[in-house]
Amino acid sequence: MGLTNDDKFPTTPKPKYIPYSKANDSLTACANPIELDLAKEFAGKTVVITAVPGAFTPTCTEQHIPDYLKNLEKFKAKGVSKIVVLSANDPFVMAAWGKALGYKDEENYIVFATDPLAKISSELGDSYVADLSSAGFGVRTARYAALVVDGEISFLENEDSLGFTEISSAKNLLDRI
Amino acid sequence: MSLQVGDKFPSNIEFQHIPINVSEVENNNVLKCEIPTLLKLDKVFEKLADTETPNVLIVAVPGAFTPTCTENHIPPYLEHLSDLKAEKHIGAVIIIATNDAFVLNAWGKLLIKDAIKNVASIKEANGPSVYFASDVNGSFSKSFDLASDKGTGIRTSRYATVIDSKDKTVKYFGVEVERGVKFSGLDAVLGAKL
Repeated sequence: MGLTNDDKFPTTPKPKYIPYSKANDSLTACANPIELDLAKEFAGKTVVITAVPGAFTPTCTEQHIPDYLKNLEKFKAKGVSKIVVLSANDPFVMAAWGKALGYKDEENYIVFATDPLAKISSELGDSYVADLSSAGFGVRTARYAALVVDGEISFLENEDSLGFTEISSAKNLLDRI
Repeated sequence: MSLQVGDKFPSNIEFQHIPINVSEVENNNVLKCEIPTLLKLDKVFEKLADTETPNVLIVAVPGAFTPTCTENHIPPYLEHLSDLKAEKHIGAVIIIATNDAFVLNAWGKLLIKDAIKNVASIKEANGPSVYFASDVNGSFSKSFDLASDKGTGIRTSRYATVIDSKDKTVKYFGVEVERGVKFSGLDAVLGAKL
């Protein structure tokens, strides 16, 4: 069994990320990672969390995150204060991926963050992590989406077999807000 | 047991990679993902053993897209591919890390594109083959005590080695003992007696 509606969304270990800044605009420029304080981000606000098995992998890169990037204004209009993309990749990889996907805004409305060793996702339940060690990819976050209102889960669902469907689509989340 | 000059390099070493063609990389979309395949080092050795450029350079970095690797370590190698070939008879350059093959492929394409901006001649198809490959779970590096887990997953040390594909002996090995690039960088390899 995992967490479900009205449970608190886990806030530790703190995800790490590198905020986008114009000074680090180049895809191969790097800055130092900082911690994302989820407890603070959640307080009194609506936050979207979505997780992917891997940066720069086909489904995540071609379908899942571009779908969110196309809908940023709609999320804002619905009162979502932040979108957090999680993966077990390190913060350097996540930051480069965010830039490669074309998100270059110092507002950092959508952040590309590391779920350290997929530990936050495993707190959600066994089906929110995927052990891809046999394929050489280690333990990854599954593909899932969550809506967190004032720290509590108001929607949480994972994809079967890591694919991208209606479940983790931007539209599904927007319809539930 | 670390790698040592004069040692026989092991057989059956495999990495995971997505092939990159330096001469075509300018036209490649960084976000275009393909399916990783195995890079069998024995095949690389076999292909180069009877050529004028039998040396294989392996450079290991702790992480793709991290500051030192991205800014100081790998770009000088990419910008001097023709020197590595002409002066050191290097026929293949293999950059490895414990990142997965997708990440390494994206990083490799970006670094090569940047290198071409500085040295346009490297895209002419006569340089050494270039691979960006995953040392999956650090298993190769770990077998030589060149990988460790400091709490964020297994990472390789920063090191470089050159292997002669004719007799599979290690002709150069250098590993960094502190931050920065000294024993594993371009200058160390260009200065090595191969």
